[in-house]
Amino acid sequence: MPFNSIRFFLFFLSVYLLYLLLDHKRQNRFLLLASYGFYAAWDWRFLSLLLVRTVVNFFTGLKIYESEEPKTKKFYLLLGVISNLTILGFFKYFNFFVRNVQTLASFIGFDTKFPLLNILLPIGVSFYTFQSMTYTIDIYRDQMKPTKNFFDFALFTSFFPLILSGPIERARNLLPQIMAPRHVTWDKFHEGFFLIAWGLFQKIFIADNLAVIQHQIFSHNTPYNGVLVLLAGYAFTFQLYCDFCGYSDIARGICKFIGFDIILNFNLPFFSTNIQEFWNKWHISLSSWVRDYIYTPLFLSLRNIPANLRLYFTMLMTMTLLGLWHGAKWTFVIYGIYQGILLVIYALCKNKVLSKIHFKNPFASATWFFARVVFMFHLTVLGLIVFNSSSISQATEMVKALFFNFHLLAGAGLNSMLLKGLFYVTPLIMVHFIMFLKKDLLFILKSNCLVQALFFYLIFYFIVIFGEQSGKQFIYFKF
Amino acid sequence: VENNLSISNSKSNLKWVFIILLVMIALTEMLIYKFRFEIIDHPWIKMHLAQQALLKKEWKYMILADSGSLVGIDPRAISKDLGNLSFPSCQTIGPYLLLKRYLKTSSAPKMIFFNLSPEGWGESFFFKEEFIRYSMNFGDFLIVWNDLTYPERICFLTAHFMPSSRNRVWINSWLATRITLFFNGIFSPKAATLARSQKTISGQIVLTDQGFILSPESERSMDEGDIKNLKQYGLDHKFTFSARNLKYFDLFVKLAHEKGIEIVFYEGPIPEVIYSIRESTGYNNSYRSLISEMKRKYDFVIFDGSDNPVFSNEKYTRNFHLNKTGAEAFTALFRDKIFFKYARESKH
Repeated sequence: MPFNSIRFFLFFLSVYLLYLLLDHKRQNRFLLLASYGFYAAWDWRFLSLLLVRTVVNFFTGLKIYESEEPKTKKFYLLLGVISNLTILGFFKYFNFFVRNVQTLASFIGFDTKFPLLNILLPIGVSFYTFQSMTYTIDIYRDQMKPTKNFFDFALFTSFFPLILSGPIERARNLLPQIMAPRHVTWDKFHEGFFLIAWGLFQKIFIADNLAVIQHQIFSHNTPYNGVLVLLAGYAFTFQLYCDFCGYSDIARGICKFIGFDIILNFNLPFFSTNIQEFWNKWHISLSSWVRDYIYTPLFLSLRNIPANLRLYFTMLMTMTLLGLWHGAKWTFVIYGIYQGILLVIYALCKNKVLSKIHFKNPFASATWFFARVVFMFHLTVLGLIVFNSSSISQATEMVKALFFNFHLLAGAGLNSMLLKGLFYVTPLIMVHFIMFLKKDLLFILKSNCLVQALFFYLIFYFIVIFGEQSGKQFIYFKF
Repeated sequence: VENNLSISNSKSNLKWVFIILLVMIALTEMLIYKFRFEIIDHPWIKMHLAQQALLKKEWKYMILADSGSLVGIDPRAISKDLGNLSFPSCQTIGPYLLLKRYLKTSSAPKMIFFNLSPEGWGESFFFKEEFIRYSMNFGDFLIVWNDLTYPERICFLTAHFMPSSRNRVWINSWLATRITLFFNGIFSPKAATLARSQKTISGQIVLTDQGFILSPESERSMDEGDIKNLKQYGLDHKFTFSARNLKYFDLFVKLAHEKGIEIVFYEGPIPEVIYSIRESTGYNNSYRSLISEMKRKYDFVIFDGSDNPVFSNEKYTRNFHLNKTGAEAFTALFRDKIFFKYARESKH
């Protein structure tokens, strides 16, 4: 039941209308029921997994809080974390691990055959695992108190707008909203309406149309042409952004409708001037999770290593794990390492070079700013070419073509693809540019009624007339 | 970049946004209203429109059958008083509802020629996707809803939001087309793509003024691949019939009988490749048993044999539908062996 389906529309409409009629306690029970129903619509067999995880996290959370002894606290924390990661690891990485052990064994001369399991990946497992883990870890860190209401906690772990692809919300932000009465205000309704409309526009008009372009090139066999690879890289970068940001916006819009405020997941990442800023603006719920629950503890635990080395090592390790989080594929790992290396390079250049560059002339300053934005954008594109490649060899061939086979190719349909791509991306760039200049993601809602109506009018007709309607799944569902 | 909304008067603001938005959309739709039929070029919609027109005419003789006869009998070569009101995948509910609809506005025909292919007696996915989606109206739905399955009811109720649903024709405007395509695009993207791809064959599917349709592929004959597929189909399928089909056949013949309409139950054509397989698998015998039973039950219905006329494979396109040559042959057969025979013998 994806967000862009009639089943979901009917589901949400009925849930929403009934929800408005209920008091707070019944609202929570009803949302829990709806969430389980929503998840079961994908695959009812994984409900048991969700339930086990809920029970384990609920009780470990309580035990951590009730325990006096630090050792006991730590024991329950480890129990919670390990059980979460075991489930994630088994379903997502078991076969990957076995295959690589087998390759390694045969490389060093052992002829072994380990059995591979026919495992189905539970949808959203990476997202709700990380979300659930924030609960036990935050209790351990004394950043929140556990809830004694099992049903409220179960709603936190299964909340339907977030369960499939996030945003990965923190327990300390979402649980209080579940436990306290919520108010559905006109402001929230207005914002929710905008987020859903804008999210659908990003998904159906931009992402799915760009998918057609990038797929034409990524699905080609070698030899690749550098110009086409670059075009595919642009198309995939905007596709991935609009697909995932579109999903996150719709999820946040749904939450607004029912009175919740959920973490912002993307904050104009293409206006980043460096990699650090980029990760503060791209998939914020994941990057901040990784920062708080992997990077910081890892950095603090390596006290014996010299400060700079510790920083670089932690960055590399964290980003590699972030790459691996996306799935059991070496291209994801390489993508993570690449991001780690960029962060290390930036950390090295930041104080020694970049901080010393200043321009008094506003034009020169703006040019410097945009040069950095464009450079950063191309670094992102390069990473995402690897990310979207089906194998390391494809990634290598594509990157090689980008640097050593970069020339215009006659008859490759380049003009047509370029024009189409520009047509799909221009509305996004325009809206983002105004958001950036006005420093406000919701500037449209603060415009006068005529401008707002015109905005929704254009969205409506762009989707109707130009929307790609082959029902493409959201990309992040497979992660 | 900030992400805070602080609009003190969101309620009135939003109200005006919606009002202006609706006015803008309405104005756009009015401006392009006159092009609505160029836009509504989906073949099923055109077929539905044409059938609506056929139902408003007075017919002395009428064919109520499924797609085999829709593409197989050209009434223009038989009689100007004969209308072919067949509809694909209609099962028995279709003829019953179409007859009811027809009788509301027109006087009863003298004779109805009825046929349903053997497949049509069983449950069919296509009944929902074709007849319910493109022909059934709300009045029809109220009559039969109790006998429809849950997916069939949902299909009818959501057909308004489907591409090229009957409601585009019903509301009869470009606005409806746009709205349905919008909802469709968002909520049923696969169906939208299908609808758009089918536009390429639109224009070929046009009913004649007596209700005959040449298959869009009427110039081609089955190739080896088609024959192989059909053979496999023949081996894989057993003859079935549903209680619902028997119930609505009963209602259909009783309604016709009440109105003094004679019914001739004729047999549709079948490709030779599948006929021989069905002889060996017992399919044909099961079908004949059903027909024999109906013969006994409805003595006021004329059953013209219980064996389908077998036509050579090259007279078909890729499935059970006759091509141009096949349609000419079956039209001649129907004219000489069925229509002239029973129309002349009619009690009227």
